[in-house]
Amino acid sequence: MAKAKRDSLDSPNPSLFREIVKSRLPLIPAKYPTKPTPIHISNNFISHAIGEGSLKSDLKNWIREQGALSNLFNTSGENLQRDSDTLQELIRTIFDSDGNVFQSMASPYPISERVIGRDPSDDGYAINLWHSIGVENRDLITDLLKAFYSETGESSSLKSLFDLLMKDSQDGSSRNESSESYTSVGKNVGEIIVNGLSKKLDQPLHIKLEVIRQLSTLLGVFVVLGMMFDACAEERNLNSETEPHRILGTFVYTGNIGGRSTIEQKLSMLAIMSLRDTIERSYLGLNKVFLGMVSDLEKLSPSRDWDLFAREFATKYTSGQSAQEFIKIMNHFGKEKMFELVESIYPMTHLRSGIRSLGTKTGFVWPSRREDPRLVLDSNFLTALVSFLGEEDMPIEDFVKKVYDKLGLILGYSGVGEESIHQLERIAGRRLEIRDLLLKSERLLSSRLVSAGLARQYSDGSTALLGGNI
Amino acid sequence: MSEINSSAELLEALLGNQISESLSAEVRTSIYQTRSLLNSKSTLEENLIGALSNGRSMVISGSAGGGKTMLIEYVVAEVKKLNPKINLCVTKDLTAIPGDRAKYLKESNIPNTQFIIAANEGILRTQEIREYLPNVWESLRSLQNGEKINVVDGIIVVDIAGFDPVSTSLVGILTNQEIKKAVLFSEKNCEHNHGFGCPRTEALELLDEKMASLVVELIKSAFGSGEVTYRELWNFVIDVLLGGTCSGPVPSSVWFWRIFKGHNSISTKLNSHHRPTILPMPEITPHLFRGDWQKIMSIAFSKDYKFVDPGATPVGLSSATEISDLLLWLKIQTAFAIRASGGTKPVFLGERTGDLERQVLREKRLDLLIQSMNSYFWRESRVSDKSSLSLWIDFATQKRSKRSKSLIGLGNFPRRDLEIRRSFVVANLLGGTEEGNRAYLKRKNSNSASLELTTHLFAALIQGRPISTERRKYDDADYALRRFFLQVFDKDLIEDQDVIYLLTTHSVDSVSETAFRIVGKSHLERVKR
Repeated sequence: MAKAKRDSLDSPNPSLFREIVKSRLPLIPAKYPTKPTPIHISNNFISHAIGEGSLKSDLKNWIREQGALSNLFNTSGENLQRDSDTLQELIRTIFDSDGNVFQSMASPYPISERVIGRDPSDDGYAINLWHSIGVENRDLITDLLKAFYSETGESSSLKSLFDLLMKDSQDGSSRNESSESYTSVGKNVGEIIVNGLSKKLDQPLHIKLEVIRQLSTLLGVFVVLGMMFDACAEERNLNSETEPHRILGTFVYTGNIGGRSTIEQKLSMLAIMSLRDTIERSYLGLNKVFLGMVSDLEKLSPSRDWDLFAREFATKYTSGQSAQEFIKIMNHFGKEKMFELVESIYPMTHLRSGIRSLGTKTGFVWPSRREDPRLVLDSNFLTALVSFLGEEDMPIEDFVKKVYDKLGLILGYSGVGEESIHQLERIAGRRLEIRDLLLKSERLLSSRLVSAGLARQYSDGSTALLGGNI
Repeated sequence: MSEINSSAELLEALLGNQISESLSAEVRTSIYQTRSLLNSKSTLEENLIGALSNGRSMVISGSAGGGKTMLIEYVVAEVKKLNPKINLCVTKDLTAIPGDRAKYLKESNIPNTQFIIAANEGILRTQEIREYLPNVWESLRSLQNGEKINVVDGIIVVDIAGFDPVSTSLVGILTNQEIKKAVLFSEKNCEHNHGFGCPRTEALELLDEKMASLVVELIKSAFGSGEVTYRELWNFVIDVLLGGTCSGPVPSSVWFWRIFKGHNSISTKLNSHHRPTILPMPEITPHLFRGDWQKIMSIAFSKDYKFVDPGATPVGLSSATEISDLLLWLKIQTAFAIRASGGTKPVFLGERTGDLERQVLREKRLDLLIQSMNSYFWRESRVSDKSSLSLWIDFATQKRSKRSKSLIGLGNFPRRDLEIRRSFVVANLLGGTEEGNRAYLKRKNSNSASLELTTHLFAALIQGRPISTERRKYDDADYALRRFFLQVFDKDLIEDQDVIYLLTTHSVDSVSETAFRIVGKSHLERVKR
């Protein structure tokens, strides 16, 4: 019996740990790191911004209940059954292509504000991301999303189908208010969403579809970044005003995944080493945050016994059952073993698993298993990044610099500071010629952008982004 | 200058790889290849000379090594012959001007004086340069995007990189008599192969217009719409004609060997793309192996093409590498001889894979392109007779191991409202209609939607849309296609505006399409097909 109890206190308890450190590390993975998907996050994020949709329950029926759409046909008998089933498949393809709509909870493709809804499957990422972007960005995003979803008067067969399905519905409910301010990663992320959305208003439905895909992908990527960003900042004692590249400076593999040329292999290896280093720094930062919180409270009343201190600490950051549990854990490990406490209840494998799982779903990390993970620009992420950060005629050099400045990610050589290059040299152990590799990485990116129809390479070899609404 | 002296000078320049800089004007003119125009019997150079003579100004833009300097030197020399007193500001390379280039242009009284300027594109983009060269950057960008520019009296803009030097110049270069003389000069003391003769010079005799055209075809199918610069082309020519050695059982000096095995970027690409090692010649290979030259000559060679004896036979060699290299050497030579004589086989591997691209781009087969794009999503060979383009949307956001089982169709976009459009290469001259080497699928008479037709895209179309997302090589091309669909969609042009489509994949080779019509904003009905 005593043994079982001891095991439970030693076992990982990531949700509880995140609750304790949430004010400083809001986006680290909680209990189910492999569960959340980009669509879970976007549904919750948009719901926090503009409220839930009035058709969220009806949608579950359209997709899950056999015959729920039969009233849309004038036929009867066998034909009605067949047509109704096929229409259900069509509706599923539109609203549930990722398979996240169930009777109990649902995260549909958030193409209409009337179907979006909250879904606990996102493990709290969306609300924490929403809080982290700051009140000013939150207000702007709310206004922009309302404008984005508003009618444009255009028509298409898809739009007609939407009108038919939603003819009797109401607009969504009001949003959640929040007054928390931004974190270091949140400010830039908020600005990227605001700038991106403001370029994408007054679009027809078929363009909105793509914008929503891009936004959902980016929100997932931002959560993955957030898992590492705040903790890395803590590890280096840097504040929220510090440039992101000084905090992260992580190299992203820009080539085609699965590329097997010598250069691609070298770049891939650099990306593996760089992500490994970032995760290790994040984990050190995460430890540092917790130990700092303990130390700060201890300084206020150094003479108290450990049990009293544990109570005060736990109730300061959580409450109820969670507080009781954390008191037991703190007492189990004792004052001298706080580092071991973190390793037990929040092991580094858990952080890595969260990054890897959500990262692969967004096209930001590869592969999902077996080999060592690295940050990548899979097509779905690359296209979303260009759409939200890029501008018409922007030279690729400026784009690479902007990603570096705004998100702390290294895609090439342009604009990358000496500090980041030294960091990569340290990680690679001078085995690789970093500057040369970064130049090659930028060239790979250039050819990928052209292949994806996002850029044009001009006669002198320069590459500039194309314009357009997506 | 005597013939021997000019050959020696040319040879020295070729070996030094300093074509434009080191040659005398006489030799330079003798090997200069003018660019033929598609839409007239004249050349680009003739038209530029005419325009300069009429007081027009021009900017020549292109990548480093693209032939800007040679072009300017040639046309300016010709214009000065016609009008020695012409007051022309000549800038061979604006990028190389040290210091403040805008100040240089201002001091040169540009654009108010007549000028001809060569510059890389990057520098033309800068705001301070655009002030002195009004609309040049915009014209250049439009040309490359397939938009005609023809403003009377506007600054003439030439996108030299848009001209394909392989198609327009390579045959001329490879068969240029002055260059051949220089190569022969280089081998004048050749005593290779114990009296069997010099393989390089013997092989050179095979290199006539038909052979050179075959080399052009091989390069075109390997590079597709990708750019080959003049510098790359010259490096290729020099390596192919003068590289390697005549010694040993496998003479690496012959051009047909160096086409694939030379040490230059084009040969590397040709070797990996065409993979001559798997050239199928089942009936001839045994004779080649045994060294039965009489038989080979009777099968593959004619009076026009004399067999080049390597001085050894594969069967007589002991090293496995030498045997396989010599057999390859013989196969390539024989294949070239058969093809240049009008034979359709053997076909190099890369020629087959480039088939779709060739047909679509050269013959402007829009129907074939549309069929291929439709088939890509249906994952079937090109059997569809549908003449309109189906616009499919994939709603998946999350990356999974398998792609979406179903796609939604926005409708069918009619072929009559699409066009394959080439880039253009000259603005404000020739009616702006001279076509370049890039190609796009565009909405007709509009620039609102554009899909660049690259070799990578054609390769993706041939493969079909993979079900597994592990096969990511063509993911970018897949996105480019779907992005084009979203951009080209127009409710007023689409066929069956009130119909919505569902494409469902049941298994690798089983796909079905269903359609519903939205009737009177009140109900749906299945469209019978």
